[in-house]
Amino acid sequence: MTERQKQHPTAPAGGGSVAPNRLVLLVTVVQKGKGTFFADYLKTFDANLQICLVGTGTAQADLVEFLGLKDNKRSVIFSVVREDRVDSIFAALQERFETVNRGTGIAFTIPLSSVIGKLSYAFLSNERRMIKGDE
Amino acid sequence: MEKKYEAVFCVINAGFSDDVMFAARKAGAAGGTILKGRGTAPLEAERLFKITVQPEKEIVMLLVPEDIKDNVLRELYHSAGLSNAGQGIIFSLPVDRALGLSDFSDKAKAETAQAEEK
Repeated sequence: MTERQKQHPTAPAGGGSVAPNRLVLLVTVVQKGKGTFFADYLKTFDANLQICLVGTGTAQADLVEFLGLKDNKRSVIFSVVREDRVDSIFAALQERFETVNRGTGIAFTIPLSSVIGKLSYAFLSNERRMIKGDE
Repeated sequence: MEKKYEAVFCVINAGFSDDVMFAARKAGAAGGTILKGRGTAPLEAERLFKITVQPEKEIVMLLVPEDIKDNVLRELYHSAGLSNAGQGIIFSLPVDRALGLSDFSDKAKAETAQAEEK
């Protein structure tokens, strides 16, 4: 196994290009009404693509009460972010979950295996240097 | 070491999410989030596989510990899979990191342990 394959286990074995930063899908579930707040906050971490949806929580009543999420309407935010930003995003989200009034929620990341298109990748990773040459 | 999680998605006909949650709870999942959606399938494929894709869909998103993921999938397949009225399509995705879940459950465990000691 090459050094590059060790670093990027999903990289094509027969060569092919590997993007400088891998991307992940960040899913954030918060109380309804806090969706815009968290989406705006995530924008500061180079998250260019964000999709906000309204969902319904189904946690059991006692657990719901324990988490402080009595109202079961939720905002679900799907954002595509760079993997190297995940540490800072999680630290920041944890702080917001704990300090913002009615701001409790959950967040998790799912790795993206591939993206096609240089412009799409540049947009998703907010890599502005990649498009400078085309201007 | 950080606990590993999997995100289980179940795409099901609208109105059947209760069945999904019931099955998921039986397998040990704590809770999920229901999203509303609209499904599509080519008419030809519908005829070939003898299934009808009802346009109104619900997506149940469950974050479950990796060790119970197989049980959750099996339970969902039997009670909400394609052969049932809900016609659920079930799949799971790997989760790199999760926030807000393990902390609370650990806290809850610590609190109950403390209460038991008292």
